[in-house]
Order: sequence, then C-alpha cells, then structure tokens
Amino acid sequence: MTRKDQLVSAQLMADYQKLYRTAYSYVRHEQDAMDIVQETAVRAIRSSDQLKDTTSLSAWLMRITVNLSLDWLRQRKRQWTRTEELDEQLPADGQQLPEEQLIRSAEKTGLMELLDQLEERERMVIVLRYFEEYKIGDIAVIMDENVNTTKSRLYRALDKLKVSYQQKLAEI
Amino acid sequence: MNHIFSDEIQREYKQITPPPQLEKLVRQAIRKALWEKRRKTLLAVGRYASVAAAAFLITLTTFANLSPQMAYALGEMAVIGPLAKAVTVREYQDQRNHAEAFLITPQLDPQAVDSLPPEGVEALNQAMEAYTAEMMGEYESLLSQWGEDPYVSVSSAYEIVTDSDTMFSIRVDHSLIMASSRNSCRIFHLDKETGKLLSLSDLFPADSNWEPVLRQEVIRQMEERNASEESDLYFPEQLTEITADQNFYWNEQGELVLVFSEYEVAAGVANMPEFVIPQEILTELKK
Repeated sequence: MTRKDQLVSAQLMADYQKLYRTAYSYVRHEQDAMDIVQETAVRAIRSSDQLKDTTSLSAWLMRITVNLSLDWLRQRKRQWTRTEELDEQLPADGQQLPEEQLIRSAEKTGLMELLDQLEERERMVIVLRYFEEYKIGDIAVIMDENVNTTKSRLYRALDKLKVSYQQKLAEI
Repeated sequence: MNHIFSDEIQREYKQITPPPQLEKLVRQAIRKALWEKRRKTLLAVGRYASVAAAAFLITLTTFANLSPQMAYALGEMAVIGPLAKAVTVREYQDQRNHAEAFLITPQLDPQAVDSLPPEGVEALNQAMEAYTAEMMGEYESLLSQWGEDPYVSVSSAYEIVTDSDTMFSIRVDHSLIMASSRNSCRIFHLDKETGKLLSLSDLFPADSNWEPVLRQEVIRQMEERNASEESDLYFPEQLTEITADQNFYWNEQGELVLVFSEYEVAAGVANMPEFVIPQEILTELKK
C-alpha cells in the first residue's frame, strides 16, 4: 500500500458518514446512498496515484461522492423518461409517476421539503455550506467550478429558499 | 456557523445516519480496490521485469520475503536511485472480524548493496524491523484492550525519499484507524560513507543551538499559516521541543523538511504537517 493509498483509506474511514449524509440528501434512499459511498471508496483508491496534493483529501472524496450522486440522479431521470415513453400513458387517477413515488417514499420532512425546492447543484451547495460546513473555496473545488460561480449559486439558492419561506408564511 | 436554518432542520440533517454495516462495507470496498490495484501493478511489473512468478507472489504470506520487484511495486518511489531496487519488503497481515493489520517492513538486501558499510545496512534493517514490531505491539495491545471484536485497522507503507551519493533515506508511514484515524511516520537515514544512522541532531555541530532556532522557525511558519487561512489549524503552543530524533528529509531542492505526526502540532485536517527550513537558517546553523 502506498502512502497515498494509506492517506486516502484513512480519510475515507474518517469521512464515510459525512459522505453518506451528502449522498442521502440527494438520492433519499438508504441502499443507494450506501452504494455511492462504497463506489467513492473504490474510485478514490483506484485513482489515488494521480493525486498531486494530499492536503485537501476530504474535499476530493466529497467531489467523487457529489459526482456519483449527480450521475445517479441523471440515470434515474433517464429511466423515468424511458418508463414514461414505454407506457405512453399517464398514470390513472390517484397513481403516481415513478419520480413522484420515489420522492414520496422518502420521509417528507422539513429538510427534504426544503431541499426539493432547489436545483441539483443549488441543493449541493446548500448542503455542503450549511450542513457539512465546508468553506466556499472547498465547495468550488468539490463542484469543479470557480469560487464566484459557487458564491452566486449559493446566493441564488438562498434567495429561492427565502422566497419559498415567504410563500409558506403567506399560506399560513 | 449555521444560523440560516432552524435548529430543527439542522438536527434533522445530522440525524441522517448510515446503517451500521456501512463501516464494514467501506472497509471491504477499500480492501477490494487496494487488492485489485496491487494485482494490476504486480502483473505490470512482472511483465516488465520478466518475473514469471509475479502472479504467484500476489498471495500474501506472513513475513515472507518478497522480491525487489514486488517491493518496488509496493513502495512509492519518490526518488529512484541505485538502492531503490535493493529494497525488499516483508509483510505481516492479520485479519480477525473487524480488526486488520497490513504491515510491511522494508529491508535493504545486504548482498545487493555491497558498496555500503554492512554494519550500517544491518542497523538500518534492524531499526525498520523494530518500528514494525512497535506497530504490531500497539495493534496486539489494542486488540486485547478493547475486548473481543474491536474495529481496528493498522497499515504501513514506505517511500524512498533520498538516494544520493552520500545519503539513503527511507520513510515508513504508519496509519492507525480506530473510530478515527491517526497517521504518523518514521524516516530512517543511512549515511552511505560512515554507515551511521543519522538523526536530526547529527546534522549540526555539537555546540550548535539548532533546537531553539528550528523550533522558532517552525512556530513562525505555523503562525503564518494560521494567519493566511480562515481557521487556526496549527497549534504553536504545542510545540515545546524539537527532539534530536525529529522526523526530517531533504526535498528535491535540497532543503531540510521537518515532518510531524498527525495531531502532534495541528488539527487532524492538516494531516502530517511539513515545514521547509530556509537554506539561510541551515547554513547559519552548520557553521
């Protein structure tokens, strides 16, 4: 085992719960979130030799998890689309589309309701910043974009949530 | 930090906890990936070096001597010099329920390094063996201390950090995972001319005041890093002494680098922090 493998392994064991939480906030399914974390471990070890800088290992692992979670969502969306095309019919009254079924199968709570109002990458930036407490610079690395893009994404997401809170208040 | 969302929402997020089996599954995934990677590397090395038995060597054995090619494949060579290929490794592997150890001991093959003083080679090999024995001792003691089925994982790795005309330095890293992880290392230096194993204090004249000078420099760098980052990762007050056997190596620019264990002088996120000592300080100390 090389030193990089060793560092990556240690970081994986230190971070796996955090990675799970982030993956779960996306996929809302216990087994799928576990699969994503395990796949993160496999991919991280496989590519550890290419790591030039081992000081931001935690952000690097999170980046793998985020990418896998986004892939998972894309795949699911394709599957849903295909299912709809094959069925060529709308669900009967009272029935749900697969996407709706999935979302409703997850516990519909305050947090999930909140995150549902955001687009994928907005959701991620909120989770990483306010729940996993990453710095903006690290989030930019994780999301593979520049810091300013991350910042505007964060402000946009906060704006949306503010709007939605206001709507909620108005409903009450 | 999180004043945007209500306590309830934050609590809800923190309550997302993975099923208990995930820890074991992640370990398994790591092991599987390491195994596949090792196998791939070994087969590649085997092909390159025409080692017909490379595939056979994949089987792990306790304290079996492995070939230089195997050692080459297992080690991460920062510097590939003539001695790099004279390193063999001995492996120790243990697995029981949730505990596992994968320790390697690099050894210089005395026959392959006949240009070096034999007593120096022997001393280096013994020092590296003693370090592995220390790690094994710690592993065994944790197993007996924490009952029947503790979650413990220890591993080691090595890297040749210097192989110059005058010096051969080899770094052995040690990782212990138990609830959280702890990384440390020991760097061994063999003076090729005298055959002596060198410590940090051997680099300076006997009357040199190297300790306070190096300590102050490291503290200065820690404070500088704290000031340039958002949070104080480094704990200058914890560095009360730089010992004679402080870990060090020479980087590619020929600068002296001091290496500390994880948590020794900084928060865990800094891992094993390193500090490069400016050349002018070194020159002054060597006078």
